[in-house]
Amino acid sequence: MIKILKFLATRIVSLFESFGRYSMLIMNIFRSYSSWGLYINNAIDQMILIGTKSIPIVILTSFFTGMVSSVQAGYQMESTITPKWIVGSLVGETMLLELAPVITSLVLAGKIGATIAAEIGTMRVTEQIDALESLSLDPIAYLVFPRMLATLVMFPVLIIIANIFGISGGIIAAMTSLDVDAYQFLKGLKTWFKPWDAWYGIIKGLSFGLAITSISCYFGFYTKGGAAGVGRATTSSVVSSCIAIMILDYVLASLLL
Amino acid sequence: MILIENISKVFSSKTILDNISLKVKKGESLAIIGQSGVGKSVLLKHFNGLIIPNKGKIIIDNKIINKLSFIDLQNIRKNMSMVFQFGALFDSLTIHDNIMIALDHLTNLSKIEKEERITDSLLEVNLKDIESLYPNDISGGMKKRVGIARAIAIKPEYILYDEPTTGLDPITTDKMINLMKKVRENKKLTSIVVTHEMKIVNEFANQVIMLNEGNIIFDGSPEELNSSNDKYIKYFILGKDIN
Repeated sequence: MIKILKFLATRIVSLFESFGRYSMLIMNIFRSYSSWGLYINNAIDQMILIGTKSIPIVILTSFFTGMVSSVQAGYQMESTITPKWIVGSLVGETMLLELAPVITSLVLAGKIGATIAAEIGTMRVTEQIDALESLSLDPIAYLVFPRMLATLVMFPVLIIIANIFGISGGIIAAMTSLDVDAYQFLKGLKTWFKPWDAWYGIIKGLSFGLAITSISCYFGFYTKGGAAGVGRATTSSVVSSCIAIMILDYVLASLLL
Repeated sequence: MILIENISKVFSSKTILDNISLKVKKGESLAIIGQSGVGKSVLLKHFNGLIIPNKGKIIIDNKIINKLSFIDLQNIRKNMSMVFQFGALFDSLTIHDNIMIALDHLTNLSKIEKEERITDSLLEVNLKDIESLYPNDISGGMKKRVGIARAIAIKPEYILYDEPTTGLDPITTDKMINLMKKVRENKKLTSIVVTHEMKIVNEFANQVIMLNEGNIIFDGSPEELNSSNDKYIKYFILGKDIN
């Protein structure tokens, strides 16, 4: 019993320590704000990596998610007297409010989160972060700031793309599988549409993106050990990012809806 | 001058350095030796504030660096370069940009002057026409030399070497030692080197400290080290147990 309590106590202390270090890392982004200008080119590189190179996977996942939600909405309505255009309303709202930001962020937690943690983690174990510091560069400003800035700019763009392709997928599935034409689908979409829903999805996506990037930077930055340590950091960053997305999803829904 | 006063460092309840004190005068070359895992690299990283001691003081040019803010510490580091064990070159940058990043940040030179500085630094370590290559395109020995080129490009007063000859063959090791000597003479640098290599101790250093179990067990000249009658020191120098 004592052993279990000791184990739990150690885990809780370690959790608080990790949260403290994470908070310090985020705060320390601002300690070298005067040198941010030096890292704008790095931020542009990261925008390409985080944003542009993620567009194909975002299109693919959102398109099929939209198609599936359309088919499932049609299935739910099959035996009711509900008008067919409701499919457009359901697909539109679920994509804007939930599926586009959540599915996109979960996919990107795997793609971007793993890349960031592995890259920074490798830099840590090969002493490249020490080398940055020994050259008087601020490693947090050099490594974390450009990634956070890139996320701030690119995640809303990715969510908008996911919305567009998710709804497009929904229309195509409705036309091909449910005998609902585009006019009916769009009528349904417009009937329930509120601009705030689109903003809410973008705010959610941006919050998820900042969580993914900051968590992955944290695990990469504090990697210990060699290749095995990088592997552990990468796994931890993806798992923690996914958990953070789920928790934030509920918190934001409670606060903003 | 670098003065280390009673520093101790503990990692996960294990004492790595225990009340260490030493002095390095300007222009001197200090070798830190000892078995693997005794904390030589940990001690070296205290010199430029990469590791902060749990207690004690590190005084560089009359400033206690372990009490400085991050920005003030960065200013101290402008006069102090470090050459890492495996070069620690930035993978995503070319050799040119690996050196340029230091010059961009630490100097106010014009673009032409920076380019000249990069070429000169690489020539100093006997490398040329490799500026456009990436670290993965060159050998381990070349990476170490580029690491030295990056370190001397900013014209520091102090240079720290972390096991500069580890993993090199005897010929390349000899060339590396000659290079370190050349850099020291040309640039009038104060050098601190962590090593297992007795050749470095005998040919490069004029002061040696030996660490064991967190303490300095020897502090003196290479000649004094070689004539020591201490069994452990003899074991380390000769590489065989004399009992």
